[in-house]
Amino acid sequence: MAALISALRVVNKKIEDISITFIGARAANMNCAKYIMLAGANPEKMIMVDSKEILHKGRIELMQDTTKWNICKKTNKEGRTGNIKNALKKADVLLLYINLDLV
Amino acid sequence: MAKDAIVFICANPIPEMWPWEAKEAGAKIVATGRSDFPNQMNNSPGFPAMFKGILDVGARSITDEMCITAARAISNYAEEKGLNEEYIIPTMGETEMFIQESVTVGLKAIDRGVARIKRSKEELKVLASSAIQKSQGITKIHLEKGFIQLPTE
Repeated sequence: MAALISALRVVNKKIEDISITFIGARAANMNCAKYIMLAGANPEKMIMVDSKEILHKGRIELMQDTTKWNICKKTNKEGRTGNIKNALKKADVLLLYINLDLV
Repeated sequence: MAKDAIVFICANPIPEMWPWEAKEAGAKIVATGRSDFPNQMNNSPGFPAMFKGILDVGARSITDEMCITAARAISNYAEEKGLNEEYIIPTMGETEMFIQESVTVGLKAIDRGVARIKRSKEELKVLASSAIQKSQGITKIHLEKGFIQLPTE
């Protein structure tokens, strides 16, 4: 969080304006997302990717998983789908928290 | 990615990609979880000082606002020292950062009414710095007397 605030100061961008891509959708990135939103970032401009694809409203199989479904509803307003490559387009900030054992 | 991209490569100790790969791909600022690269993002600049501030004012709870205040305090300290692409976050060795952070968190808790003990900025500062000095002193003596060894590289 502190690193993000500082990094944005260096590149002269405002937290409200930035697009953030999260790769990895487990506890670490979920909590990063939570605090980044609390610090003023716009959830609509956030995109999170799990082991399958981008989280979006069409991922109805995730409805049982409240944390992920919450992200599906809140983030990714433009409704992007697909792989990491799609998730990275136009991103100002990229947060990687991947379980490398799964790769 | 967008211009002046920021990349946080958080897997540790083996990052998802190497910082130089991210830089070559166009990232402006790269941070990792490792202490042997610039910009180590670690929870160690966060929680010790936060808890010191929280305990010194006997806070009943830790609010999200207090967490974000702590983050801003860390960033403010780095900004005072001069931010750049290779220095966005202070290291564990920068004692003054811990004191500032602890004081800021303590004052925030008082301000938001979750503190059971009211203390002034000066009092909090003395409490944080004396605790750190005490520990540093003990470590130094233990090293000198040979009770503990420096970690091997």
